[in-house]
Order: sequence, then structure tokens, then C-alpha cells
Amino acid sequence: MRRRILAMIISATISLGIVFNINVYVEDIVQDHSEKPIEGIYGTRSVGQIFVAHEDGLSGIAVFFATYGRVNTESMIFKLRSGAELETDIVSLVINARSIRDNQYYGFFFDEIRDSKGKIYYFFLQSPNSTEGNAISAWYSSADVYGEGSAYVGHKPIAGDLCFKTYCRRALSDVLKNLYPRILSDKVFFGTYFSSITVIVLLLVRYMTSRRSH
Amino acid sequence: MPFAAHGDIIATYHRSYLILTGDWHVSFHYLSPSLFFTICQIVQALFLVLCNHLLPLRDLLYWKDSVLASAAFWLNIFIRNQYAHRALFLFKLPYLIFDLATAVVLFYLFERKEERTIALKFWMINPIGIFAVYVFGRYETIPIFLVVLSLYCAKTNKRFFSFLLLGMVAMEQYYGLMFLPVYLAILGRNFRERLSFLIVGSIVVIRDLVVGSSVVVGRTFLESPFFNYLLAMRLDVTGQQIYVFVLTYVLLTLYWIHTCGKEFSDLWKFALAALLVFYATCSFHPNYFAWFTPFLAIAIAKYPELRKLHLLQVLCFVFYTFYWKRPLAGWLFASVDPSFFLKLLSPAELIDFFYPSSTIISVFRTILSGISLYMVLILARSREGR
Repeated sequence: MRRRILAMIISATISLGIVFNINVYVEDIVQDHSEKPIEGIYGTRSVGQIFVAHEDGLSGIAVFFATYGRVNTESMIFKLRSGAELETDIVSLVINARSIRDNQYYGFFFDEIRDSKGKIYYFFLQSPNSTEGNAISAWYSSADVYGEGSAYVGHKPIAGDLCFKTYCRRALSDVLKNLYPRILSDKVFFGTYFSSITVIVLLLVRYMTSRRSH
Repeated sequence: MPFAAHGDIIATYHRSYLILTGDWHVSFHYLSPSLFFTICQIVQALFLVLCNHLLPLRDLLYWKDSVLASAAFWLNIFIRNQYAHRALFLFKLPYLIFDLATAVVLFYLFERKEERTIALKFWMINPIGIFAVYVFGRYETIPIFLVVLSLYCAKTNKRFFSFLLLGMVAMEQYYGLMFLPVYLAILGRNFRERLSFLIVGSIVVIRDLVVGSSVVVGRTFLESPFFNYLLAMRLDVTGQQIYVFVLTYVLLTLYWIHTCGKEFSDLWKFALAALLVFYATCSFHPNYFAWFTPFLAIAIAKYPELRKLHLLQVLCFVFYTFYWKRPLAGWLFASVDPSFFLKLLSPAELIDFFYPSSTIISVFRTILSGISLYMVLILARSREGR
């Protein structure tokens, strides 16, 4: 029985270790205002947006697309740039426009950029093979609703912002780091709570052990 | 227990706090007292008296001009309070007491030791109950306790109390009314008795008549969201509506009464079957799913084949909760780390990147309905076979 309990404790500890090392996607920037689709993305006409990351671990950007209710067939290139002149491609992804749904976000996910906090990024979408009538578009707001950047068409800034969200990866262990000061802020309660839980668990173990020996 | 909650727990405790301070009458004189003086909220108000010295109640539970859940208050003020965890633990403590009381009553509902052990184990570790009460933070254990006590009174031939308790359940949650026809058919011995039991059991109707005819703003059964949920699934017949829940419920009730054996098992089996029909054909909040757990505890002890079906139900229920997106995902744990959990993507949002989440959720919702109806079939057949 003792061996079993020991095995349970070890497996619980390992499981917790694994769980707390899991990385999850957390929203960073949310610009969800939009009133109409920007121009179609085809030929040399690219559509993009500049933004400033608020967190480290930038790892995804979702754009709110319009397909005009049709199936668009050509491939679409997503690029993310950073650097002083915003000319260095750090991410380049190719998808088919078929996989984009009308009036829905589509997420472009990439390897985590660990030190993204406070840096300026520029993402844009282009589809050289698409034509008018076989091209998708992105929703945008003509008002300047996002103050830290603006939308771009053909790599030139325009008034307004795309409808987009950015995501960063965070480990679940971050939660423990932030929970610790909260626990310290109510020591009386948490002291009582954790001691009670320990006593209950010990009593249960003792009950199970004695039941088994009988 | 102190790490998770939905805004609903704060809303119900807010109303209890208004009872405690008398503010319900001052600030909300235009609202019906029936919105405040429910059994659960009275119990909570009494409990708040004990918590008065342990918690800054006004900081945690008071906001102006509304008696409903305020997401802004929940996410910006309550969870950031230094005593939020302590409050969540203490607020759920009465639910735990009623939960344990229900276990005691369940214990006495069984004669055979093996069945009793299975039912109690199920009751203690059932994920639906744990989620609805200790994660979501709803007071469901209080009406559930009354329902189980009503069942116990029926078993021990205290029939008046059985109906009285059922009437109290209906005052709290309208689902108590669903059981009334079969309770009357089985427990009533003659017309006079049935009439008096009907009045006691449906006391909520009298309350609603008073609220409906008064000038204060209240909410009667016909105006409640619950009534709309019951009628949500409908068939259109050249402009006329046939409500699927009403249809199946009437069928079920007539079948039960027609084949009535006046046995105690008919009561809990009907209650379980009626709730399963409700889950299969109506829209319902996740906490409502806890309502059938005491009946299921009894059923599982007697019919082991229901266990696997219930496991499937639980799996489908997990997907069903995705409908509510973040409020029923990361936000439940927002008090642990607001900066993390408020921004955490919900499972539905993650699915949406690849496929419409509503379709996936609806498939599992449909499977849940199918399983629930199959369980009704098992219950009905178990009556035929005796």
C-alpha cells in the first residue's frame, strides 16, 4: 500500500510538472473594430498592418477575412517583418485561400519570438496569382482605432486599421509565479486552507491503509 | 474550491447581501420581493451574517443599479480583491454542507449496502456536480438536497412533506414542477388528496399569480428564460408550432401514469427520465446539468449499464460548455491570475481557426441528446420488465 501511495505521489508530481510546462496561446493585441473589407488582395496589391507587441513570446496573428461569399482558389503569402526599416522577413507562410472562411478570423501561427515585448512588427498578405474576382480581402476600420500602428496597402500606410489579433505563448507555470504573491496577500486563509487539505488527505490515506490491512 | 467561479455566484450573493442590509427595499423597491427572497438567497444571506467579520462584504458584493451578474464587476473588481479566494471558499461552503446532507439522505434511500456504496461514490466524485457547484459556483446543491429529501419523504410515506419539499424546489428552480404529475399519480390516494397535494406542490404558481398581477416588476414562469428554453425546439406545421419538449414530456408522463405501478422506483425513474428528455430537447445552462445527478446516482447503483452512457454524456457535456466560450473556460479561473486567464483562448476559439466550432459543438450536443433519450428508453424498459 505504501508503495502504491508513493507511486501515486510521484506520478502526481510528474504530471503537475508536465502540465505546468505546457505552453498555451494567450491574446495580446485585440483590434476587433471593422466596418468594411479593405481592397482585394491580388497582384502586386498587398495588405498589411503595423503593431507593437505588448508581451514576449509573439507566436500568432489572426486576421478577420472576407471571401465575398465565394471560393477563392489561389495561394496567399503571409509575411512578418521586424527590424529598424521593417524590411527583414522573420516569418513567411503560404496557405491556400480556400482554407479561409468568410467573415472569420484565420490564424497564422509560427515559432515563438521570445523577446517580442515592446518591438514594432509589420505583417502583410499578398497573393500574386489572384485576380479581381478570385481574391480575398481583410476587414478593416477607416477610423484610427488602434493607436500603435496603421493599416498598409501596397506597403504604403493608409488611414485606419485592419481587424486583427495577436497571440503570444505563455507557459502555465507563469500562473504559479503570479499566484504566489496572491497567496502571500491572504496568509491566514491560505495557511488554514492548505493545512486543512493536508490533514484531509492524510486522514484519507490512513483510512485507506487501515482498510486494506483489515 | 477557492480558485474558480463564474460571475453568477457573485450575482446571487449580491442579492443575498441586499437582503442582509435591507438595500433590496431601498434601491429596488420597484422589483418584486420574490426576486430576492428565494430559499437559496435566504440561506446565503444567513451565511453572510457569519462571514461579516471575515470578509469586506461591501467591497466584494455591492454594486449599484442592478441585481444581475455584472461581468465588469466580476472581472475588474471582485477577482482582484485581496480576499477574493477567501470569499470564494466561504461562499461555496454552504453548498458543501448541502452536498454532504444530500449524501446522507441518499444513504438512507438504499436498503442494499452495495447499491448504497456505488451511489455514494458516484455522488462524491461525479464531475458534473463538482463542475456546477465548486467550479462554476452555483447553488444547485440546495434545490438538489430538497429534491432528494422529497424523495426520501415519499419513500417513508410522509407524503405531505414530500409535496411541500417539491413545491419549495419549484419555488427555487421551476424543474420541480416537472415531477408533479407522476408524484400525484403515485402518492395521491384519492381525488381530494391529489388536489390538496397539487396545491402544495405548485405553490410557485400562486406566487407567480401574485407577482403577475402586482405592479412590481417580477418574473413569472411564463416570463422566465427557463420557459423559453422548454419551447426552444419546435416543429413548424403550416404556421402552427409543435413544441418538442412538451410533446415528449406529455408522452412520457402519460406512459408513466398509464403503466403506473405505485412503486417508489417509479418516482425517481420518472424524475430522471423527465430531466433526460429536458436535456435532449431543450436549451439549458451548464449548471442545470447537475439536476439529474442524484437520480442518476440511484439509477447507476441499480443499472450498471448506465455508467458507460454517463461517461459519454460527460464527454459531450465538456464540448457543450464550449458554447459559452471564455466565461466558461479561462474566466472561471480568472481569480488565480487575471492577466493570464482573461486573455486565454477558449477551446471554441481554438477550434474556430481550423473549423467552425459551432458545428463541432452541435455534433456533440446532438450526441448528448441521443444518449439521453436512449437512457430514457432503458428506464422505460426496466419498468416493463419487472
